[in-house]
Amino acid sequence: MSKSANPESRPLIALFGSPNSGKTSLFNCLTGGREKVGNYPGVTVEKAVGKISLPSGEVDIVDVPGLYSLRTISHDEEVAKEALLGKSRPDLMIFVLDAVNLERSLFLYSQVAEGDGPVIAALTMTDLAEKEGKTIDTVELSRRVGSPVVPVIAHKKIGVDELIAAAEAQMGEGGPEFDLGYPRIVSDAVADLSIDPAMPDIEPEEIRAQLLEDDAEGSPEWKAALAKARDELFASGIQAKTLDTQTRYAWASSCVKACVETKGQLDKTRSQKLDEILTHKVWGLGVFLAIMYAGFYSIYALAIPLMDLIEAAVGAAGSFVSPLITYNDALRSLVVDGVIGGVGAALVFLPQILILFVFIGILEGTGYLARASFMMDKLLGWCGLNGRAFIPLLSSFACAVPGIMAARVMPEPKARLATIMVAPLMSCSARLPVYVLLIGAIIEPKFGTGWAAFALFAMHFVGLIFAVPVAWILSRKILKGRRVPFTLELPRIQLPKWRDIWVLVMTRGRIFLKTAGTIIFFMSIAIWWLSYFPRSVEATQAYELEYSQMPYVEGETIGFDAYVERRQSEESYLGRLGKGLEPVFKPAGFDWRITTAILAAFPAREVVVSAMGILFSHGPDEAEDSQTLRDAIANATWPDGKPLLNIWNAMGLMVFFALCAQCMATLATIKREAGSWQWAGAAFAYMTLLAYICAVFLNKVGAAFG
Amino acid sequence: MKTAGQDLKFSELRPGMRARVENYASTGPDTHRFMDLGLVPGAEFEVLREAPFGGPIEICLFGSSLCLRRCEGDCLLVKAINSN
Repeated sequence: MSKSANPESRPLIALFGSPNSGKTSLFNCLTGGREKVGNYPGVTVEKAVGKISLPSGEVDIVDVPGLYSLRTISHDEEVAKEALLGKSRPDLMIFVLDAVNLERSLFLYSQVAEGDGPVIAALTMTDLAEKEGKTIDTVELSRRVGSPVVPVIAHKKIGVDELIAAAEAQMGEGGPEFDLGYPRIVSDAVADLSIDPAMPDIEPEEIRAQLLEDDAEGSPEWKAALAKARDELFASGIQAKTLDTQTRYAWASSCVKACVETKGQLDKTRSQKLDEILTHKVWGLGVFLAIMYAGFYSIYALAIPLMDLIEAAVGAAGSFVSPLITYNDALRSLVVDGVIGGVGAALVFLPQILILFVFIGILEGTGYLARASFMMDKLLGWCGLNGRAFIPLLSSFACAVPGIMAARVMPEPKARLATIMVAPLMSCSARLPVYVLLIGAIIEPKFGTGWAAFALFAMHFVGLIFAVPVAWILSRKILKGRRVPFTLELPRIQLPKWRDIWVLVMTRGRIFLKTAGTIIFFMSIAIWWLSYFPRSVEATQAYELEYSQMPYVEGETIGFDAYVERRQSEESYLGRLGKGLEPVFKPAGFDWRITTAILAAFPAREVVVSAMGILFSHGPDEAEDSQTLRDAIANATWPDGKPLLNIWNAMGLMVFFALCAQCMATLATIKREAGSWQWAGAAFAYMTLLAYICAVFLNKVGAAFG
Repeated sequence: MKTAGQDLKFSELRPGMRARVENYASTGPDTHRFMDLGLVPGAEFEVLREAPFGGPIEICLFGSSLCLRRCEGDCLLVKAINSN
């Protein structure tokens, strides 16, 4: 173990395998579900590391993202591959061979296992293979692949002890020996090249790869020698481009032929029979709609009471703590509104995240997710996304935070990033109070209930309409990287493994709280600070004096406390910023009060309602259906007496909230899931710009026609 | 009616047909990904079904399913080896 990939002395095992091969299930079983998840430096690919106990001591095990090949991988996967197979290799590789997909597994094995590190193979899905009448001769398979093969059924813990014993025994051994059976002319060419004086210090496998793949690296003499050898190959009629893959697949097929015995001609399996309904052009869509409806309905029905509970608990904690801090108003407000409020702001997302991931876990574990992606691909594919984007986008109509996290079901980094970037445009439930308030204040009184209902309905499509071109531009013009064709495997339909779902849900919840939750917490405190300070006894006394000198106007004069709060909010840093930015928002027809309300709503859109309550009416406790708040907004005027909001800039304000990125939880989640602040910043910038342009446009249209 | 032995485009295949990969119309990342999944020249597969709205086509290769988009699959040159 001289070239350990792990500088911290503990040996490192890397777990390789294709997607859907049961790799994650095995990883959860080996690590007991305790894993640390981070990202590979600078990319979206997650790195999950756990610990396992071998008789000789603890070792680290890393779950390598599922791959089909070491060659056609995205830039992000390349980083992960480089980290694992680059300069220092892991001390041992456990390779997952999928018994129902053995050819494809062996193809990847032939690439991964080429090298000098020890490898053991875990043969998964043997229970499924048995049901399909297949028996696998593991002794013969082991002889052919050159490393120990251990059958494992992870969720039943069968074969796990044997796998650990094999891992212990193989540590420190050499790499597996297997003969892929390249045509004679190729092995001769490699043998000739390996004694070429210009040869860099590389293994024969590397020479062969450079020869066949046409990617020579080294001195000009070496490149010339390779080019000459390649010309000779072509002259003999060999298609070098496809030869490597063909040879490996021929080797895989020969292994399967020698090691797998299939009993008789089988009827269709249960999975295939189910598929005839599940992916049927008519019934399949019906089942899809029913499953999605049931799934999202239960997320909604279960999450709402839990969220109410969290909000009630946060409120109760606030009112419990509040009377205990009597000596300093600012400290009390910091603890109650800043700290407790901030914790609540992060916790409130947890029910939706956990329940959504239970749903995703079931869909993934049964294999239905792939079927649904198969059916949805055409609808989502033409704007550069793919069928797998439907769960993240659908979830985002409830809340973008779990929606963005759900984008991890997409293995293609480009499409995943595009999905993450457009997910916040979906009309989430936090926009509803804003729509209800403004429609109730401006549209309903003028046009009646029918048009009000239509406006509410139409507002839900505004974001979706913009999401299509944004996704198209992102994936076609902006996001760089190789375009990989969309391919999808439909794994066998199975019962879900509850343990894997439990691990998935717990891991996602923990990651959210640790990363995004922390950011949300600190942003809450920052916003609290901006809206609380500056504040002084003198200033408060001045507001009190102002109030006492104001003439009483029926229907306009508000309570004493509400007046002081309005003046304090006006003079806070946030209020000053709002006043300072008024010229920027004036083209959209917004005054400093609306501007301040927009700024105050940065933590979350629905905060705009209480902010407008303070700035226009009786205080922060008025809900979006309060008639006094609606009247106050409808009757608000510019200093010159012109009405502040007409139908056009009221629509502009709603569209602004439909398109803007006023939600720090979303931005924090984008930062976590896309791996950098850059993407969170980009989302904020393009959405705000889009929102602003649309609001200004509507106001100008209003000015022209109104 | 497509008959056995006919050269076809991938998108012309219909459920129930069996076909063999003859070659690739182009080389590039697309063809690499398909070859890595086992669609090497000489590989035989069966067309299982088509997704709604003209979506991807599901094929059965080595006893496992694989779905490709029609347009992207057209870099494959295939030959029908029997027909229903």
